[in-house]
Amino acid sequence: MQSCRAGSKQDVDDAVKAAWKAFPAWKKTSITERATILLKIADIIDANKEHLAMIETLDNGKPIRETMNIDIPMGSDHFRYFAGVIRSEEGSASVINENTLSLILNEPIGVVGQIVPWNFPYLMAAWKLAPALATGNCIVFKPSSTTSLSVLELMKLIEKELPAGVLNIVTGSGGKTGQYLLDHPDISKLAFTGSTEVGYSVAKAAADKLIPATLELGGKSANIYFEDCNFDKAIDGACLGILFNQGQVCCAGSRIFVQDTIYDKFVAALKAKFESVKVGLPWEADTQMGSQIDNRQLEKILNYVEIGKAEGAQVITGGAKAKVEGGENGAFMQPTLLADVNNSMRVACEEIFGPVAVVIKFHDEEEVIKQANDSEYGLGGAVWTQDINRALRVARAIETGRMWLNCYNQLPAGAPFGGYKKSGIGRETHKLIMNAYTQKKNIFIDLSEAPSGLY
Amino acid sequence: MASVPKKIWQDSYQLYIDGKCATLRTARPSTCTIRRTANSCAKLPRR
Repeated sequence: MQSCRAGSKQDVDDAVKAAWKAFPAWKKTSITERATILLKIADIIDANKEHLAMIETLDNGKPIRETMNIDIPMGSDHFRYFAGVIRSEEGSASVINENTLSLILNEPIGVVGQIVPWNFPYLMAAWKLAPALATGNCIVFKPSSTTSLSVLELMKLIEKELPAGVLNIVTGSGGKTGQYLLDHPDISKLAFTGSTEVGYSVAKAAADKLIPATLELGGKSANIYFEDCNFDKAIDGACLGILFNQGQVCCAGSRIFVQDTIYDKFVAALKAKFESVKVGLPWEADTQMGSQIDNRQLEKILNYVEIGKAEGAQVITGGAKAKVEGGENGAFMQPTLLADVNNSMRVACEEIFGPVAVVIKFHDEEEVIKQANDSEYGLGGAVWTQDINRALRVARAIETGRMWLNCYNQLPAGAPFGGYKKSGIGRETHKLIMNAYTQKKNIFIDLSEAPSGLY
Repeated sequence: MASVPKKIWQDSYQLYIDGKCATLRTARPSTCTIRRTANSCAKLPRR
């Protein structure tokens, strides 16, 4: 679609310097002022929703119905949420004893480096930018080299709302520009969303500089269906879990566990539903699944289907490139269901990052908890049942940062999202993330007049 | 159905550092219409 500049080491350095130059004034802006700016940004996003949605759809390949109804509006809501959070933030004060008070004040951490992936280029930007700006930090932000346009377009729309240097965008590849940012000595904190593999590099870069890092990484989430689930809603939820954003979702419900008593009925119904999904040109309003990010990703997904077949999985439906009129060269994938899978197969362990679900049969609660937890990841997951006691028992037993009950892939601001195990460190989309973007200043006050008497 | 031209943008996107970006000025998709699911149409500006 378009070429973006490959940000050089000098570009990253210029951006970091600009951010530090802006920091002393930005950190002193009042909470009221910053909240007002965030609200203004949200209004600008809403006013340009169609424009931003179309850019995102063209750049990423995700359906326009998703960008119009999810990515863009959820992004503006994120800015509004954090505007509200900082207005209600009060720090804390405690009385240690009769003569001693302790105050805890939140202070911005400095210049933060943020790197986001290609699956939700604009929404992940909103997740990162809103809390960092709200807390008075300055930012050097690097979008994915595959999908840099929506955040650059957002920057163009909001540039007058922010002082120069507060938010800097450097485009380029992760391997070069991203690494320059990770290695820069004057970054105060790193925030990254992407693969677990790259997450290790980010964590090591942070460790080398002794700075904090928040990481939102990969997943292989368990979507668990008991025999008493609301069946129609359950089938809908299985689709939402694995077909939303063409399955390119870190918390995708890619391991579908189904109780043996409803297994055959479930697989048949899900097959029919998958085959009814319209895979089409992303900018058409009735398209339900668009294109994978590129043909390389499509090849990776197709290769996993072959791996599954070689392991003994049965392709119930899909398993091949989808034919889309007008998009013959696109990276369109059929919704794919693999059955006769066990939890130790590669297709059940590794993140495929495409519209490929594996179905695993289970007998009882104890067995499914054990299998669901037998994963190196722990990001998302769901339980489908009408037994509230069982729902809560299973949700609590699964080692994951987010468990949905009778729903999937809902990610509104106000509910913390993040991973256990190799799915990451930290929680976003909630005021908890404010801790990651602030230092805690403790002011310890002695009210007594007398010397200590120790010397 | 909205049609998408091969060349979406004429100007290159560039970095945005210290409040300045020399060439990020006229980027707009030249495609025109998004059909919303709610049956209303939203026009995108043409170049």
